[in-house]
Formats: sequence, C-alpha cells, structure tokens
Amino acid sequence: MTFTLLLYTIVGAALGLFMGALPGITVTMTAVLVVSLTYGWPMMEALAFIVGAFCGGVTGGCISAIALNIPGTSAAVATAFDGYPLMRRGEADNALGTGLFSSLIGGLIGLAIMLLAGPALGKFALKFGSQEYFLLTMWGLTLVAVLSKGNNVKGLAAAFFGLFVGMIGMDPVMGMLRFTFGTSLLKGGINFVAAMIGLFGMKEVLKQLGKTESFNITGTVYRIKGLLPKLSLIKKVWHTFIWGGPLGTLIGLLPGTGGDVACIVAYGVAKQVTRKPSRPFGEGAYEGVAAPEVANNAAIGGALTTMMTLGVPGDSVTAVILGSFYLHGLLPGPTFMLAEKHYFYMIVWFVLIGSIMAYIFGLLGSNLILKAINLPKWALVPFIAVLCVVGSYAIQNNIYDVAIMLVFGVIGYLFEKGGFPTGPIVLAIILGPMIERNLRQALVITGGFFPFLSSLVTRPISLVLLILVVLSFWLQSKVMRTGTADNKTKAA
Amino acid sequence: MKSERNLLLAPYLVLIPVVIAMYYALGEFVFKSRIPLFDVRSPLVFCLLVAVCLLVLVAWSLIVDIKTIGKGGNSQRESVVSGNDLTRVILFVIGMIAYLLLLPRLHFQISTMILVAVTAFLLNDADKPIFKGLKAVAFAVILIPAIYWIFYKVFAVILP
Repeated sequence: MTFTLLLYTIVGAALGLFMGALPGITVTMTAVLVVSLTYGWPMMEALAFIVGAFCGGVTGGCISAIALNIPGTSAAVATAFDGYPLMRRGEADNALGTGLFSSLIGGLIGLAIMLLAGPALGKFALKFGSQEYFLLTMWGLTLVAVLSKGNNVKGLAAAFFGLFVGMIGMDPVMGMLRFTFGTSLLKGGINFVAAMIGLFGMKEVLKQLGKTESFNITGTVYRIKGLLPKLSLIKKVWHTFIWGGPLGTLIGLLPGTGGDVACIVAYGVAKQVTRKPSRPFGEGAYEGVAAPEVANNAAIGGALTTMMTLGVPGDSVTAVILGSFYLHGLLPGPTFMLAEKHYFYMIVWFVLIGSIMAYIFGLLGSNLILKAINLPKWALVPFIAVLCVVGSYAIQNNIYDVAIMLVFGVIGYLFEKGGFPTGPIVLAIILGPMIERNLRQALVITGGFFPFLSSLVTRPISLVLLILVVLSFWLQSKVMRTGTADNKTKAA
Repeated sequence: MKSERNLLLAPYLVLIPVVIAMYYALGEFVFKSRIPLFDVRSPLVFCLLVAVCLLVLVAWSLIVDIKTIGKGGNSQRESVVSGNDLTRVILFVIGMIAYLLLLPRLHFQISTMILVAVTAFLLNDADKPIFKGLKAVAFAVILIPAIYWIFYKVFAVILP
C-alpha cells in the first residue's frame, strides 16, 4: 500500500460519503460516475478510488435518512424507520453517531469474513463447469427481484430489454454482428458505462426537473462531540453487531443480494430478536438504526468477495464495479484468486481504509453535507447534468457516448414513469454476455436443449445452485414486498 | 386546474419498437443469411430466447397497464406528470440535443456554460426574472471553468 493509493482511497471515501448522502444521487450513480472518470487511470489507483467511494457511499446514506427521512441510498431505507423519529425527538446526534459507528463496525466485520471466505470460495469455484456458471449468472440476475420492488413482470421485462441492449454489436462466441441495423455506430455495441450514466444519472436529472423545491433541514445541526460513540448507547446496541455483521456479510455473499436486502432483513430480525428495545421500533429505537447500518456495510465485504471469486455481482454497485474490472482488463471469477490474488488483498486494504475514513469524514463533515443538501435545485440539477456529460465523454473521448447517455436517460425516465425499474437493465447489460457465453457452451457440450436441462438437475452442484436461484428469487421478492409495504406505512 | 399527463404507457414507445426490431432482425438472419434458428450451435439461439421472453413480458405488462387505465383509478401516481413538468423535461432534452450539436463547434466551456445557465434559469422559480438570469449566468461562469480545470488537471480528462 503506497501513499498515493491511500490518498486515492481517502478521496474516494470522502466523495462517496458526500454523494451517498445527497438524496437522489445513489451509491450506484456515484460508482458509475467514478468508474467513467477513472477509465484512463492506472488500475490500482482506479480500484482504490472506486472501492473508497463504495464504502463512503453506503455510510453516507444514513446522514440524509436520519436528517430528512429520505435515505441517500436504498441501502439506508430501514435506517430512516427509527433514525428520523430519533431526530424529531431531538436526538439527531445520538442517532447519527450510532449509525456511523455501526457502519464502521459492519464494514470491519464484513472485511474479516471477506478475508476468510474469499480464498475458500475461490477454491470451491474451480469445480464449476458451464452449467454452474450459467446458473451463477442467473443467480446474479435474481437481483431483479430486489430492484423490481414488488413488480416482477415489469422488472423482468426491463431485464430482457437490457439483455437485448447487451446483444447489440458483436456476438461474444463467433464474432457475428447482431442488431446493428446497418449502422456502423452500433458495430462496437452500446458502451455500458454511458448507458449506466444515462439510466442512473441523466434519468435523475430529468426526474428532478419536475421538483424545484429544495429540502428544508435548517433546524438540524450536528455537534462533532455528540457524534462520538457513547458507552451507554453501545451497551444498548452491541448485540446487533454480533448477529447483524455476519448476517449482512452472508446476504452480501449471495449473488444478486446486497446492502438493500441486508438492511431490510436486519431491521426485521432486530424487531424479532430484541426483547427490550430502547424504545418501541418505529418510534426511535437505537437498535433500529444500528442493525440496518451494521448489515448494509457488512454486505460490502460479502458482495465484493462474490464478485471477485465467482465473477457475479452481489448488488447493483458491484455490478458497476464488475464492469470497471473488465474495463481495466481484470477477469473476476474462480481463476482470479489464482492469477490475481494480490488484487484481492489490495481491495481488502481499500475496504479497511475506506470504512475508517468514511467514519471519520462522517463525524467531521455531516454538517457540511447537510448544507450541500440544502443547495437549491436550480444549482444542483445542472451540476449533475454536467457531471453526466463529462463522465460519459471521458470513457472514450467520444461525443457519440454522450448521445448514448442522453438516449438512455430518456429511456430511464420513461421506464420509471411507467413503473419499469431501470436497475435490471444495467444488470442485464453487464451479465448478458456472460449468461449467453455459458449457456451456449453448455448447450454445445450437452448436445441439445433437453440434455442441457436434465444436466442442471443431475449435476450435484448445479442442482444445489438451481434450488438456490429459485429460492433466492422468491425470498427476495417477499422481503422487498414487505420492505416496500413497511416503507409506505412509515411514510404515511 | 393544472393539466396532467399519465405516462404509464410511455415505456411501450420504446419497448414495442424494440420487440418489432428484434423479430425483424431475426427474420433477416433466418431468411436472408440462412442462419439456422433451432440449432444448439446457432448464434441466434440466445437471441431467440430473449426475443420470446421479451415479447411475452411486454405483452403481459401492457395488458395489465391498459386494464389499470381502463378501470379509471390509476394506483401508480408516480406515472402522472403535470403539464408544466413535462414541458420542462421536453425542453431540457431538446436543449441537450442542441448542446450535442453545438459542442464540436463551440467547444466544452462555452456550450456547457450556455446549457447550465439556461437550465438554472428554467429551474429557478423563486426569484424575479432579472435576478434569475444574473444568478444563472454567474453560476455557469464560475462552475464550468472550475469543472474544466478539475477534470483536466486532476482526472486527466481532455474535454472537447
């Protein structure tokens, strides 16, 4: 670890924390912008910056969740359930202090499990064949259930639209040109980073054009001393660290699940297992702030482990990071732990530094972030629009990518207005070529469609994976429906 | 009374042409290029699977949405946009297209300053027109050179 890498991680964590705290700018959007900017950088510096921003972004989500009842990121949805009531009771310092400290503990627990699970998972994944890989990528696609928030048909339609977009250009097996419609511009395919910036960034700009008011949080001021962890509060919530950390990491390890699911599940578990909460849940229980924050930060370690060892994203942010690995010529998957082991351990360092720095910046910079949230929309929206333009142009120094970004921004806006989630499109664009390659290899090896289907149930690892894929999709749909309903009830 | 537009069916403006284009392209491969469709070694096997699934899912969600609108009660209030907001979005998209056309001629700094100033002016509902204009121009003049400098010096991004 050099001083330069340390600096990149620190700056990444600060930027991630700031962006993650701004409502409307998600961690995924932050990651997309950061990935596009770091395209021309040396690989290690780029990874340090991206991982730092990831850690900072997840931590930052709790700042606006507590101050505004609007989670900065979807991984902080459950934090608002008890964080905002605490703020209204005049205990904003304690609420944010607990949230930030729990985030740090969660990040460290996730990191410890990442160190243990990474090499073991990498070894195990060497036994996988095409069928298992196909199922693994399908498992990654079950994230659609989380991103669809209850409307699976529209979520799946969006995912298949993403698969179509991913097919434009050259066939990954034989090199045949597909769906280019005679245009030379489409021969190289759709640049997925430009599409992502459009779907996450420009879509948000178009959405915000209709909301001109800024947030009114003038009454909230944090005292740095008040944000430091207090022994009396830690005594109340320490048990959530013990089960919330491993639970969050485990959820992060499952392909297709990440911080979003982890925070909702942890909140549900906290309600079940906490016999005597500091206050009733939903009215300002500290356990209701600590459990989701421990779990969503612990999920970072899990999601990164799965991404590096199996080549399958744990959540939408790791899907973007997976894309950045490809951009930098790295191939995550079972051989990653054999050929590129040093990258794994460097990323462990980046997560450690990123988590610690996000905590420190959270303590020192929360008031500054609240001031930034208060910025008028007429200043914030054009600023984000310029970032989207620069981000998409920076990928290949090409105006064509800016046009792609704008087209996908409009598509994202129309899709969202029609109730179609945009997250599955990005997930499918990234996973599509992997799914296709493995499916076609498996079809050729088995010699037909029915032999392929039967091989999925006759091969022991395939069978287990198939069951896990179905279970995962069903359980995630259930969890998200409950979480969305809870959210609506709380908002009412 | 404020005019409102329901955009629940808007995604189908993209999805239906995409489905038609997929089947048209598949038809061309099969009938013109003579590439087999129902063969495990065919490069079209995955395309066919995606095309079939997309058609079924789009048709399914379209039927559900038409029924929702037909019942009169639109449960998805997120899809309703006021006429003012929609005009603002359309104006911004037109402005972005004009910006893309101007970018190679006027270069990044000048064209982006115009874009930012116009957007900031349109979004500011709080001030009087003259103050709105002054604020928007001042904001653009400060922001864009700063962004240009940061991206050029720190991120080594050469902007047009």
